[in-house]
Amino acid sequence: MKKILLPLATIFAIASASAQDVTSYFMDDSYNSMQHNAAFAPDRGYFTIPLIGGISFNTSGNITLGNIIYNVDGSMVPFFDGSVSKSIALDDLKKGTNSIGVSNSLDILSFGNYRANHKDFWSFGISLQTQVGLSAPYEFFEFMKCAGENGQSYYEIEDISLQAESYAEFALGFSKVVSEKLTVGAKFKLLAGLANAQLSIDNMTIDINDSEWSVNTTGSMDISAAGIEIATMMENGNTYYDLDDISAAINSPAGWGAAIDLGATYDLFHNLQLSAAINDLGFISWKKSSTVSGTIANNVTYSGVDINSDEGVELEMDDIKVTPTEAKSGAKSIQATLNFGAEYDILGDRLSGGIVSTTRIWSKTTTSDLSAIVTGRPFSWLSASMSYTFTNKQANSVGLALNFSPSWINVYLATNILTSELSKQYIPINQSNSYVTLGIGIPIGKRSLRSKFTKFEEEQE
Amino acid sequence: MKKFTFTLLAAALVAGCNVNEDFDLSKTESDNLTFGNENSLFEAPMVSITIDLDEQFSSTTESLSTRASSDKSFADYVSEYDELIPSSYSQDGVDLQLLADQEDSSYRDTFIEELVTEAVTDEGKSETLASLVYDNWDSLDEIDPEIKDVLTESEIDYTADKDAFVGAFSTTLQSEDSTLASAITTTASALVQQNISELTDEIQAQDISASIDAIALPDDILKMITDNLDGENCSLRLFARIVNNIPFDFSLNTPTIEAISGYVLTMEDNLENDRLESNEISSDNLTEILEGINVVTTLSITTFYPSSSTKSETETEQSEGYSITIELGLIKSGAITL
Repeated sequence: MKKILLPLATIFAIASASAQDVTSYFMDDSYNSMQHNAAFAPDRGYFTIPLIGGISFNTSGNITLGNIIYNVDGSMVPFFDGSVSKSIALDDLKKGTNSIGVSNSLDILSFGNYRANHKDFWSFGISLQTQVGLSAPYEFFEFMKCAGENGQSYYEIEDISLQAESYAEFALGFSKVVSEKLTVGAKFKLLAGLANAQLSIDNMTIDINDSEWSVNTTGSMDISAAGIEIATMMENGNTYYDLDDISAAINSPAGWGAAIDLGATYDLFHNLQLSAAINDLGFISWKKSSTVSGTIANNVTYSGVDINSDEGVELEMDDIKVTPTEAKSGAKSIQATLNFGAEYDILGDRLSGGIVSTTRIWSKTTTSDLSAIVTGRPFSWLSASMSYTFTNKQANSVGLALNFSPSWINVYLATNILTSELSKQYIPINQSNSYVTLGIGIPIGKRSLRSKFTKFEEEQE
Repeated sequence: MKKFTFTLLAAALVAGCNVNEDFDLSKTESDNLTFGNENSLFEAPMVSITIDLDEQFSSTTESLSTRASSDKSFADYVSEYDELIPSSYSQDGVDLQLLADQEDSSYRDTFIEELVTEAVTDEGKSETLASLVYDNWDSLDEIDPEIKDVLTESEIDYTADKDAFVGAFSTTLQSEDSTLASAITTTASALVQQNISELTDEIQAQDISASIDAIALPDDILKMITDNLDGENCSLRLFARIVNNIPFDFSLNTPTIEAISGYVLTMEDNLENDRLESNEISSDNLTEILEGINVVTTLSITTFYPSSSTKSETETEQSEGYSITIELGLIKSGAITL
């Protein structure tokens, strides 16, 4: 069990290290704003500096680092430590599914520019996307803290899953001003799947009574990567994967896929703009030849020592044995996001206030945020945003973003971990959704006719 | 100016971080992972000891003063009980203590009535009663002098050999001779009571023992159970439970469980859980127990279940060998270490 719990705690801990940067949603002078809505476009064309053009670390979910790691009398201990009382440990967990995801996005190369009409914008980008997600039901945590109470000896836990996915994204976007009020955009993405791993424990029953201790587990495992090989081992006449001996050569795609971002903005009034977008609506089809699959059907039983038997007795509660099955190709959806926003400009577009709703669609659940955002544009070369995000109906985080865009460079920085209590490693302790985003690009071309500054200047004239 | 302003703002962002220096993930300790809590109670099986009673009774006959002249197997005892007890009791069993009650004979009276009634139609039972009368002929005057007169009037000749007596007795009884049946009821009551009491005493005097050289409890189980024993929130005890494979209800008389090292474990009845439980033991005590134990006890039988006229397959299997199984297990109060 320790073999399962330690990596699990580690994943939770890492996951808490880094949600999509919502603070820059209305920061239309930044090229980063296009990530939120395909209809958005920066004030000017751009190309990013390779590898540092856009880096982001995000976490999302409904539990925090502080739900997983505790400071007990000066000692840092995980949720599963005996010194963490059940009341403290379970109080902040959600009934139902508890999930956390880590994602990282790295722009390798990207550029974009306006067409000759200075209104329609196209862009192209290559980026690397990595996502890890873990979800477990409340009952799992409850078992860990309350097992053996009140004479209960039988437990059933369903749907524990671990997913990891990495893919390269080739995106071609186009944002078109359809009318004075309506702008639409789409981004078409070709996805080259690099690696995918999915471990699902569909059902786990644990019976710990005075006659027998047994753990029955059923589930499945799929791992896809170029050149993936997992050694097998024999045990009691059965063949299992040796999960300590996995090799792969990730030098070519293990699958291909496609996704699309769709967005639109509509100026309801002169100062009020509504926006809606769905991002990453797509899938990756992993190749059969690059996939290993297995089923989990473990039945571990211990009923005491048989003194008449020469064979030893073991209760390997910590081993998940995966039986090889025929690999199968299959399309798996990627994590999609829904964004809805409303922005009201005041002070001649120098200041705006708005709200954004973000919903992330996980494989078995969804999480939603609601953010209030104030964006100031004091100078044509500087804008700043501040957001206050409610996650799961609870006040959660304050985000800040700066976009520095003099004529020759565009530097962008955004995070929502500044007002949070951070661990020594700068990881938010009590915040489930966090992000740190940095981007450096080179502006090209003139400010577009869509730019609020341009419009403002025109109005002044 | 522009660079300065941006740098200042960026620096302010970083400087504004609220870092808790005490929350240092690099110092995370993971050597006390547990499940459960201080209110948890876990029970785990440890070892099962099956004791072949036929083997026990045969091999230790010499040590029993009460059975010094006997070489009965346990099956012999069961057979003798079976012969004396009406099959109508096969479902609920015969309460041996009520049957032997000197002060209140109501239970025994009903029992004898059923026995005699069954003997009228059951040749085996009538032969058993006849044998009882024949074997105790000399003492019948003390029990019921009239029985001899009745037998004589029924032309059952004691002076004949036993087989002839038993045959004549059975024939007369099965001819529904109410006089004989009535007469033997009183006699049988005393004889059956005496006989069953003797059988019960003999069984209860028999030492039941077993030795185990070593109990190879899996290391991972042992570690989970013993790692965090502190006597306050986490403690350890043993329990013993009996799996019955004999046609008796019984209890074990405070068994002595002695480790090879000399450590003696005291067990007490926990009537609520219908098992025996020990006092608190330490992890060292458990280690000693795992190195080997001797278990010595005696049976205290309370009820006997005669075989029915139509034996089930299971009962047939049981009659081929009588054994009891003592299941020893661990009771862990508090969390389990992973």
